[in-house]
Amino acid sequence: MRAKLFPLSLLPGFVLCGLLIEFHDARIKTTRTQFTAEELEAAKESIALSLMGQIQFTAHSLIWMKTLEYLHYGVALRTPTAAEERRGFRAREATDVASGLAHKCGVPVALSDEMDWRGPVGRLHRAVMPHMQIHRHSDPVELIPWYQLTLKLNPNLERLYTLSAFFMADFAGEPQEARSLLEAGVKTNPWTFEIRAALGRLLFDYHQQLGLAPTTAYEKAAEALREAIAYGKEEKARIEKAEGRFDAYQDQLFYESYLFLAKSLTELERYDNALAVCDEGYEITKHNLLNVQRRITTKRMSGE
Amino acid sequence: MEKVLGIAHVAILESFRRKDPYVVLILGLVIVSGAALFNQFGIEGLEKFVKDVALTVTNILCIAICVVAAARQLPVEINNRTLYPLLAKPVSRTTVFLGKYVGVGLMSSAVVLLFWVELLAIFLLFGISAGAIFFQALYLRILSMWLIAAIVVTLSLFLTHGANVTVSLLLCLAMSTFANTVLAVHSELEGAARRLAEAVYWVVPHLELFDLSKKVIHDWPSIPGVALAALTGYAVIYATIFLALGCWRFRRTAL
Repeated sequence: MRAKLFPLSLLPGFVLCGLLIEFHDARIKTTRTQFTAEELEAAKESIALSLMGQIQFTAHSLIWMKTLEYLHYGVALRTPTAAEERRGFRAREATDVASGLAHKCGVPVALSDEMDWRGPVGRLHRAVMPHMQIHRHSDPVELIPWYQLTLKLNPNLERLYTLSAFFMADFAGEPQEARSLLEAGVKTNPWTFEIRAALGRLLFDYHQQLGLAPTTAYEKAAEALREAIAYGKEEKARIEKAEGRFDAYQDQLFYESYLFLAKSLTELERYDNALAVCDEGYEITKHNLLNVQRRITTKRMSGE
Repeated sequence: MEKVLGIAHVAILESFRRKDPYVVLILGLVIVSGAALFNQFGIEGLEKFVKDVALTVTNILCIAICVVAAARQLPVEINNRTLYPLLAKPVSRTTVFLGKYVGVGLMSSAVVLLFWVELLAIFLLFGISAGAIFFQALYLRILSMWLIAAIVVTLSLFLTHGANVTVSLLLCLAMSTFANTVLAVHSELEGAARRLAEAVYWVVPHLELFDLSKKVIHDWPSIPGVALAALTGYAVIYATIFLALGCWRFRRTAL
């Protein structure tokens, strides 16, 4: 008899499940109203929401973390706790990086001599684990294959194209490879202003190594930078609409787009256009180098 | 001692009969293929990555083989009733216990050595340098095998086979995460919680200290001899404590 009545004990469970479904269904409906039909359709096709896409994104995140480890000679870093910060165990500014790449790095996982409560075991730990007191970075050139691998897994990481191209051109002396990478980045991410800005600057700076005639290089650079400014404005407006703002690197790329467009136009002797770019750039970015460029262009215009 | 080595010899022979070393060779081959695969994708200059993958996989496989071999020694002998004829001979339970331990230790060390030879071959193939730190890592890995074997053989007398393998693998593979977590949260803890965290930190075996992989991967200079000596002392003391506990337990176990 008891066995026959046992299924009845499952009834409260079924009721609970029904209530949960009802509750969540209402929440899903509410969420759906926040998106248009096209957006929902696009989400269904989105790589980020597919199983393979998730695996791909996880893999690229793991490799990205590996690049950070490799950049710091294998030293595992973490964010210091509030108590550690009070005792002076703080994340330090990275000083050996180019402008725009400045960042705060974490503290090593193995505690410092002053912080460590383990005595000789702590010293042993620091001896066997990669550990450093002064924050240093390894040669970024060796990170290039890692960035390439990460970009194979996630070709939409715009920042990685610009970082990788910077290392390729500046450190490895391979501007041609940097150009190919940036052009591939623009093709894969047609909306990007960051990659276009980096491409424009590369064409301007490295035209000799790229084997381009100066006029051709400046024309190409101007074209890429004009597009970068147009897309940058759209991006800026979109971010500001969401009550956000450009980060330091985006700010740098945005004013550099104006600056190098003005430089390119000056070299092409289109002085009026160059001055207009300087004015517009200064009005939007308030960066003083655009005023300096304005004076240079004016001098060139008057034949000085 | 002769009897201990005799039992150890049988344990090693049994491992060969179970084809454990062949498994090691096949797995090693998989590592080589995995590392070589990246060149097929057209990505060159990943020497550190090759080292990273090879050493990580090697360490995991060495630990897994050591744990599995150590965990099955006594329970299998007891379940198959092959322990009784062995104990009928003039050998004490302590001798059997130590013989099994030495057998697992030697077999695991041989596995590590085999893997390291394979790694050296891979590194030569890719033109990757392996300095003195590589051989220090080999020494510490072998040392850790003896420590792991002592822990697992002893735990096999306290836990069921499945529980022993799970707990031991967690101890060996997750110890670094655990130790780093205690270090990170220690400054935030106060009073009893802090004392408890410290007590747990001191009691658990710190197998992460025997792993020089990161230093090998990033071409760090070799570690001081004092550190090696300290780690040897640590392993000897820890293994001795566990072996004494295991011998005591084995002598009292009703068979």
